[in-house]
Amino acid sequence: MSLNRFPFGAVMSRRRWMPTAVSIGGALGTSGWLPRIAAAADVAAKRDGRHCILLWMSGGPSQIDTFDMKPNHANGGSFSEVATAVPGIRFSEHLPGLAKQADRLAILRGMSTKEGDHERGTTVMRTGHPLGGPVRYPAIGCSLSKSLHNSRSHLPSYVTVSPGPFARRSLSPGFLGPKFAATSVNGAAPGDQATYAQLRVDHLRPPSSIDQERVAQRLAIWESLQQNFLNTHQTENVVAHDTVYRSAIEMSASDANDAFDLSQEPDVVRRAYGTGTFGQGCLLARRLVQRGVPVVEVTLGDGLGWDTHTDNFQRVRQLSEQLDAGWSTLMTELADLGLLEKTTLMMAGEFGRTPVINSNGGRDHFPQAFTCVLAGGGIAGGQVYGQTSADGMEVTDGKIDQQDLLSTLCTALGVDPSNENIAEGGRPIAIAEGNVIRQVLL
Amino acid sequence: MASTSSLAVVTLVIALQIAGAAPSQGETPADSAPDARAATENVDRLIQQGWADEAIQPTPQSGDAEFCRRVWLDFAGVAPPVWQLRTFLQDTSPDKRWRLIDQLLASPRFATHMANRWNQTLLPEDALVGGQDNAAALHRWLRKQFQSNTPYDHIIGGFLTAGGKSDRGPAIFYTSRNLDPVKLAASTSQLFMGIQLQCAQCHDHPYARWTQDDFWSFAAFFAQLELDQSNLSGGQSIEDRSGREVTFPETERVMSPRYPGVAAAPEPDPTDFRRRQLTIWLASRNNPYFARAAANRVWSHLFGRGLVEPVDAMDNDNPPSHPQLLDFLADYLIEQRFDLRSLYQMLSRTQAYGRSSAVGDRPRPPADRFAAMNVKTLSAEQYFDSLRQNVLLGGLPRDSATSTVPGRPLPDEMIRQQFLARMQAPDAVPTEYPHGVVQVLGMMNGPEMLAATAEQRSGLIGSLQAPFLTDHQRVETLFLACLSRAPTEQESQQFLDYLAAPNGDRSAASKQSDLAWVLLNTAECFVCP
Repeated sequence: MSLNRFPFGAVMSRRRWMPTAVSIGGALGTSGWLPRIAAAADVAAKRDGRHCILLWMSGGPSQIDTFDMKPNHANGGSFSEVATAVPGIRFSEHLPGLAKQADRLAILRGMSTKEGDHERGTTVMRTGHPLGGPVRYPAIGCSLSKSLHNSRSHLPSYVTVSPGPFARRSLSPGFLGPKFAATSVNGAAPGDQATYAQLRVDHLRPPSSIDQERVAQRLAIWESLQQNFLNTHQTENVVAHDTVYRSAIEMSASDANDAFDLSQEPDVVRRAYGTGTFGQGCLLARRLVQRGVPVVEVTLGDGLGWDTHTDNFQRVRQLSEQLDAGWSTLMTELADLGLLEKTTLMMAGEFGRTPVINSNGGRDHFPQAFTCVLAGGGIAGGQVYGQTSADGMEVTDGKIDQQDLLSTLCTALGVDPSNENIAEGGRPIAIAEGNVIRQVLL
Repeated sequence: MASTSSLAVVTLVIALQIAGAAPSQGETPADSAPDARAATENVDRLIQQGWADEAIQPTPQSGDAEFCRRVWLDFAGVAPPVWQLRTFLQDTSPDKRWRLIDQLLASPRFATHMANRWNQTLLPEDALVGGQDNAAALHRWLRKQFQSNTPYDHIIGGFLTAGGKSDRGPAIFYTSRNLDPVKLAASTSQLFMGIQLQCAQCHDHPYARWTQDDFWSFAAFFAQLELDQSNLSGGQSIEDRSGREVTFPETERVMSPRYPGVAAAPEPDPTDFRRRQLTIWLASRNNPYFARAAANRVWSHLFGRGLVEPVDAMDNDNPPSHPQLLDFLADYLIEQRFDLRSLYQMLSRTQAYGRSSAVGDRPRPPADRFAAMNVKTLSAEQYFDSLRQNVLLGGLPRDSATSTVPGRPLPDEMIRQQFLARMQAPDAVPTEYPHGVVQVLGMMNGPEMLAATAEQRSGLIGSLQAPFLTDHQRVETLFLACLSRAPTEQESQQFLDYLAAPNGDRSAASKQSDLAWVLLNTAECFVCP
């Protein structure tokens, strides 16, 4: 099975970093064979034009009021559990669009981590590693955008829509370097003037007073000065400056504006996604995937919206409606375009919420047992994996952690999670090192 | 019951006697000629060892312009102002480089720049972003120390024993880490000893020497910290209460404070003021890490990378590139009584510091051989402050050193804060370029660039309109302001052609603004050569 999936699996015996080797003093970093192997294994995934869409639930979504309900228990809360298109799979009444597409979802009810703090939880779920320590681990979106990079596209390889707090640490490209940083799109909620949330990349274009001809004249001279300096200063920082500048110049001059211009979409489509930042972000994700962008992330919960310590049910209901509209419309449209089978979606937040309802009608942080969902390309939908106890307090079957989740996501995308990138000091580090959950993969 | 120690002053006196140091207040570093000269020569000798065997060819000494830009950015935190650069280039006296070094080391800009650097080093990132008042208080305190050239061991001693209301600045070191003994043990060992003790927090360090016991008995020095609740109005102050302890994880075992790598228990302190106990050892000659860590950081400031890199991982498994040199610099710093300026002065006079960063056709020598100057990426502050001083010109009538005056921030100061927020890169090392496409789009099209190149707002473009200037002079001024050097002949011709080209209704100023944009967006403008 794994050999079929990875044509290079046979030669990819996993190399583990040996601590003693460091005393050689970074010699590993120059040995050269590691990057070549990693590059070879990614060829298949790139050729296939695979995409990943991450749906990030900022604040920590309540599993027990969405995908892992406990209708017959005091912890269950006020929402009803309803049947879906797949017999035996039931979830919240406030996710009707997703219920119709339950055959596309693999619901993982056995997630469990040790991090109950927002920043630490966000970092562990996005990078697979706890905050702190000497190695700067990249966010999974950065690693995937490197593996899935599409050289024909002028658009960035990783776009994140209104990424929310803690982006600096949790969305950092870490040791991969700034070339693999996410390009963030800022969102402004709909207001008096605007029906839809406004999404834009800051400073994408020069001011209107500088026309295209002038831009071209500037860049022609810039080119020769930049090149002169590069000739005598081939250092890591100067070369990186040049690489990132060229990407930015390409993007500024490309059809990027077109891709980000949601006003080109008919009203009926824009409304179907939902008018908020998340809904319009999902629409943008579809437009970017159409144009070859490999990784897009859309965040729901402007700020820490899912952090429902008080008034849980009212807020989760509103958030569920946004989640349902954006996500279900996105999958429908991707399927119509023939892109869903090449696009893997993952819904996750930094942790779940306590099964016990607190005195403010809220639920608190709960990393011990919560739910994430995989969907789309490479995913065997229409199933639930893992189980929690009747009161929701612990995982009783199919317990997984963040590394298992990220390894499974990579595998679904055709990226071998054991592919290694080189960290500081020449240390090779795998993208993810968990157990791949084969049952949820096609 | 609980005894409160508030003996910061006494502590300083004690620390002072132990280290045998006397503060030299606000003086230019004394030019104790033979010693400093011998030291400078020794540094170069140690650096050059092995070059011949490795067939490394060093670059020549840098030209005046390159040296001037380097020393200004390193010591003043900004590129040289155009008129100062011109004066320096025209100066024919043989000692002009040394005079420039001394002049900058004694200037208030040096204190401000050092405070900028140390603020970023000392504070966790969220304290820089969220707690700007606190960061500013610490900055003021640090600036004062560097301005009066307080010896490094005294600065750190003042820091670590801070407590009372008057110590609001340095106390932020503790409050920004929530008085958490674990975080404090980790930061203190990393910052002031250059070791990664926290790797042993959960298990014995697999390949360095530290054990879990080492970590937790070091954390015990910070067990007694408490916020002083009695005076919430006057800012947060902290105090030490005996009776609070840390215990070894998942046991009831109370950890007694112990210095890392030292078997014997510390000398008892009369009032059980543990942070004082720690400080006295930290700055003493018995501590093999303190001076080495400091010397390594100074080296890294000037040369772009430490003799041990990363600078806070000086453990056994990560040996220095030049062990003898590091030992020598640590000893020199102790001999100079932890006078940082004197170490900076000595190092900046070396041939190593004077080498050009430009390498011709040959392959570039490895960065850790220091045979060509490493190119250092500017911090966001260095870039913006240079832009403000040389290109925006006068948009802001006061420098950042005095902008702590209460009242509303000036518009330019707001632009500065926005720029810094966008370009923040707290973990970056100067030999890498830490920015991505989003930041670069902001560089190319953002409000700072717009102001710097707008014909109406840019002071530089405005000044170029003076009718008595030739285009040749205008081009030269643009280069001096943006890149701190004169153009090459080829560049000069290219720019003159651009200005002379008939181009519809384009004004001369608009073409000059294009050229300013070009220069400000080159890699050369974003580095210290």
